[in-house]
Amino acid sequence: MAGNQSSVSETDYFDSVSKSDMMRVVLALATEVYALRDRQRVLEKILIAGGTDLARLDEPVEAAVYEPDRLAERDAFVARVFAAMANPVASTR
Amino acid sequence: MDLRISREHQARLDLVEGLKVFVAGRIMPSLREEFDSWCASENPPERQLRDSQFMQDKFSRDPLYQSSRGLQRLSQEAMWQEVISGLAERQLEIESQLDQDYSDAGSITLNPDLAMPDYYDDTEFHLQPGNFHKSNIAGPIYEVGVATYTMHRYGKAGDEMGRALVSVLPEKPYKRVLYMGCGPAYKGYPLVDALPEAEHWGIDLAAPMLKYARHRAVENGKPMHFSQMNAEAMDFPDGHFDLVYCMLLLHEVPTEAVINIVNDTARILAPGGVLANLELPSYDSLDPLSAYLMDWDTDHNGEPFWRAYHEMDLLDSYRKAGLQAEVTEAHSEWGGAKGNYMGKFRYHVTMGWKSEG
Repeated sequence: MAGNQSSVSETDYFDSVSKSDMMRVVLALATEVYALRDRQRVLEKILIAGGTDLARLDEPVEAAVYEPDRLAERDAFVARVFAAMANPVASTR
Repeated sequence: MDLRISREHQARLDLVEGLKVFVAGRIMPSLREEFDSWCASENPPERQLRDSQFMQDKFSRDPLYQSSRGLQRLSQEAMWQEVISGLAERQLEIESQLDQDYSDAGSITLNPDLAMPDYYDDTEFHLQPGNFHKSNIAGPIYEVGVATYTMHRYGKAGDEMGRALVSVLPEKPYKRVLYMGCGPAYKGYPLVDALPEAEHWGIDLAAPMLKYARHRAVENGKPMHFSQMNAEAMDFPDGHFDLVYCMLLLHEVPTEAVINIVNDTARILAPGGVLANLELPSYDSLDPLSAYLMDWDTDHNGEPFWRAYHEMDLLDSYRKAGLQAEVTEAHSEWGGAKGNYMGKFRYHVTMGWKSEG
């Protein structure tokens, strides 16, 4: 196996996209991730204290596309995080 | 074979797929709207819109274009990374399943001495790391990756192209049928089902793909024979097959290899035999923006021969090989497949016939 990274040469696909828009994506994502991690940490503590086996969390699952609720949540999440990229402003560099 | 991956890996992969859906469903329509509005105000001649340099000058600094292309590329890289890391957790289990011997109908013949062509060895098609032949589990990686890449538009069976091809096959008594560049071969199952009396063969350059194809065919009750060969110079005798087909193969090889494949196919076809090559629509049958966006894959999505395939005269190659030739459109019962760039489309099948004499 040649490794996980493609051998195709690097190109800057975003050199005209405002860095502020890019940082809005990063900030939106970081906010989502932090909120989720915080909620998950608390939730797992509550569940373990109540005697719940969390092994199911690591079981194999189907793709979200086959579960309408997961699919809707995913698409809403992507739309929320990447909103700035759907209507980007030109970089003013 | 169970190709499900753990929830954490699948969640990451779902996110990546969601990003592809977002690009196709949110960014691309805005880009098209912007383009249509610009065309309406500037009224450029079609000749200019078909000129890739003109389109590149128009789009290269466009933030919407950059957002769409950049996210498309990065999502493709992230997709393979997540598929590979997800399946790596089960690599030993998958390898042991692929190494099983089967007594079921069908067979597999590998050729460890078969030389990989340079173009094949040097390319990571669709950016799949290690291509189709450098990982023992390239077949499962391909299947999970392609399902994500195509946003699961082809359903769980993934055989929509095969159903489209069946719909345009000439009615004939086919005794022996060959699927060139079969990969995991599931796209060919509709042909196995439609022609149950025929002996079905599949060939590919990649041993890992063939091992997975054999395992999958046994699991799905498809009696197929698999053999590791280069379609440019096959080991089959002259006049051996009544039908030879391929799907999305010829755009993955250089023009010289396309010509070699057509010539060797003409050799192994029996009198009256048929060659059917199913591909995506030609650039000139698409609107200029869709054609330009499809062409982007040539330089940025591991499709180095995509442009050359669209520029070559395939019908002429068929005729020079002694086949009558024509292009026909095909679609499954869905009425057309949905593309990333051009909405619903029909496949193009380049059909060739060897004379009865």
